[in-house]
Amino acid sequence: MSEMHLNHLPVLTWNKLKMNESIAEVKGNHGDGPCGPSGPQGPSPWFSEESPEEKVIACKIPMYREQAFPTGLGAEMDEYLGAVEVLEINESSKEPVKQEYKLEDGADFRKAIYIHVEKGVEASFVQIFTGEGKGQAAVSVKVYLEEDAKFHLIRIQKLAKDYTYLDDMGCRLMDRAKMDYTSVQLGAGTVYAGAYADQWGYESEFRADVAYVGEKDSLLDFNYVDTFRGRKSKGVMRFEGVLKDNARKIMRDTLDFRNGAVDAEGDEEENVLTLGKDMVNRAIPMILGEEEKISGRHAHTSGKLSPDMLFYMESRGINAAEAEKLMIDAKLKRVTDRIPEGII
Amino acid sequence: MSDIKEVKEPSIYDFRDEERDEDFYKVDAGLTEDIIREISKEKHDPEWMLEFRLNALKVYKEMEIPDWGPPIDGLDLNNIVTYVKPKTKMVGSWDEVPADIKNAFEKLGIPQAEREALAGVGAQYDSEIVYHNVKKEVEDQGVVYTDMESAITGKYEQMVKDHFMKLVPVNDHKFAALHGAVWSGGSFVYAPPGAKVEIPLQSYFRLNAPGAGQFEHTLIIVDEGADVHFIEGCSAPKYNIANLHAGCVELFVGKNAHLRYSTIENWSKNMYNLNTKRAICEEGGTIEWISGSFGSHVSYLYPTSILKGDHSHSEFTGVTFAGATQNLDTGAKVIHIGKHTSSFIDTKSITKGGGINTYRSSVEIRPTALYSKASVNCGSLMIDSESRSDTVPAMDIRTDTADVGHEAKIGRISDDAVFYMMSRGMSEAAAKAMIVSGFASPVSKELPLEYAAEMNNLIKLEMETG
Repeated sequence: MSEMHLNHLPVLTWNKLKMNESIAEVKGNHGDGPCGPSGPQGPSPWFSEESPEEKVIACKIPMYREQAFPTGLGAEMDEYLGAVEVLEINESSKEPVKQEYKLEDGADFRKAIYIHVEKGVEASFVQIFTGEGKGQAAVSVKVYLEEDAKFHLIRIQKLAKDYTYLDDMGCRLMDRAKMDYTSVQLGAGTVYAGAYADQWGYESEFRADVAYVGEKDSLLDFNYVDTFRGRKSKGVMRFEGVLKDNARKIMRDTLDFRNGAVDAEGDEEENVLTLGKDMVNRAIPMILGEEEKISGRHAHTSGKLSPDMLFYMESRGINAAEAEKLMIDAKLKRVTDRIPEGII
Repeated sequence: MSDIKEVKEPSIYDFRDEERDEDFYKVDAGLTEDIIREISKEKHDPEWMLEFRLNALKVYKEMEIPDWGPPIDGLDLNNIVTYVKPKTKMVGSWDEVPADIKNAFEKLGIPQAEREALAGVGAQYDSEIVYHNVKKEVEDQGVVYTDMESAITGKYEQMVKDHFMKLVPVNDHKFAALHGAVWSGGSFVYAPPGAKVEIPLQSYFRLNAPGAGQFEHTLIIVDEGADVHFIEGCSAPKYNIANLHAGCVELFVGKNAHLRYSTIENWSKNMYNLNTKRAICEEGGTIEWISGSFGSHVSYLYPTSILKGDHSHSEFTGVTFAGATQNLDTGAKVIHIGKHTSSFIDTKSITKGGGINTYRSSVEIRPTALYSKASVNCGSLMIDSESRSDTVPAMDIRTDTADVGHEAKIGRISDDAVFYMMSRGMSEAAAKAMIVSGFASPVSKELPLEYAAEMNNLIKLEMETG
């Protein structure tokens, strides 16, 4: 086992809160993956392109080791992963590319996938993880969307409770490119999930919809960042969560408006249904702005089923347990409705 | 980044009075055990306070500078004079205050405000209180309002000892330890059970000496059922070397008591403002913070409410304006411990001229805080693209019975609104200043009229020059 530092906040806050980053215990060693310790020297030039020069601000950007093609989990994940699979998508297709992984007890699954979506191409990609017993899955997908490309990445995690799941994503969007990311976290007891959208392009659009259910003593650790660089770029991130029993969750979600992102619009929202008296719900939703002509909004709500709602349902013959189940289903449905029919 | 840059701007706060050495007593610059002993001796501290200071110095030396906030590498404690005492006694009549110091407070409008709107005033010049007065009707209710030095050496010594730096322990952070070592001046307020102070008490802190630090300590104890409004103002002239303010405010709000604590802070733009403010509320107690932060080169300021008692409540309303050369890191913290506690944070940040504004907060709801409610609203207004505005709000909720809501927005002044106002004869600058004043109105409407007008003047000034 070794330690991985991941899910770094784009700007620091009080160390006492223990939110600036997380440290995961992972199988084996890292630093010996094909990406190497100096960053992702991917097999495709798209993924080695340097980010625009950052304005250095102490305690803000850049805070951690640079990652040429940033992802939510961060640079150490690049070093940790195994073989890189490259997918060049140069034709539009209504049928998604689908990868389904059924992991066995003791699994140590590591995978990095680089996807290059050419100009004007529309495609979708689905990954479904199921697993039994005890194990670990670590997967990273980096997507480069050229001008006018449209891509929908769908990830569904239904691993067994004793799994550790590292779920990483990074995408770069050029002019008018559009990326949808739908993620459902249902099973693994320990989840580290990160996503980083780098919107370089004019009128590019990014949308993330995430559903999660934490139960028993599970840990859910998220880091979602949407960086706006292009003019009129738009980003939306929605999180629908349920925390039962003594589940613990931390949500880091950031809208980061950089100089030049004139008329960019960002919106993030998290709604958490709290159903366990010993649950821990932590969140740090940030809006970072260095451009004047932008609009950013964040909203977070956390609470249990209201007594009025329960009374209403009970008066119609639905008991409290059934009402809870209905509400959980409704929350998940808000996200799973984004998944085209037939995928799940 | 940490250099103090010259900013030419007119300000009523930016007058300076040359201090003649013979009129002031100063310790050497820097921070050593000898300096701490010298300060303690000069202030006639009781023995326990000297020990307290020396322990704080030890803690200070052991602690690290924060690594998560604005840079403070331009601040060198070896160059800061931690104690500057005017050679005058604290008096209860402005006529007895030395003419040059009285003149400074006249320019700031303090005597006039006292005549018109205040129940009591304390005025601190550099490290010591030079004037203190409280109206008879307030004293008649048993309310004590005096300087910290009188409190610590008089009949309230035990009360001070029981409360002093208990809410903000010296190991809380490096600058709390510094404060514990070199504190001087500040106010002590005790409101006995049931006392109602209808009109506000005010302390004003003026730091005039270049290269000096001000470390006043404010201790307010509001006993069961009492009600107090306390206003604090602070300013300093601008120099081209760093000044430091590391004050500490501790507020104890008793059962069913109410305290409103208002601050309009307009330190000069060479000031490092590393201030700590904290309140604790017993059952049914309420703390209200009204905060306007306009000045300083760098600020770290996060008033904290500890809602210990069931049904206790806190409200924080704040506005921060960061202009050229400023990096202001401000916000609030709330810790819910008691059942049915509630908190509300409403802040506005305005950033202009290359300034950096960070709204930082944390709301912690402990497992014991059943059925608690918290609401956070933060709005940021960017006036140009040279500036930076960040919101960094954290929440830690550990009971499923809590209801927590948070909303943040960042945006700019609407072109349509400016156009509309200009079409009615206003200049663009005046239109923008009016829009910004409206944006900050949640704070100004909570202040007494004179202070609201002052705050609006500050916004206007910053919009014109900042």
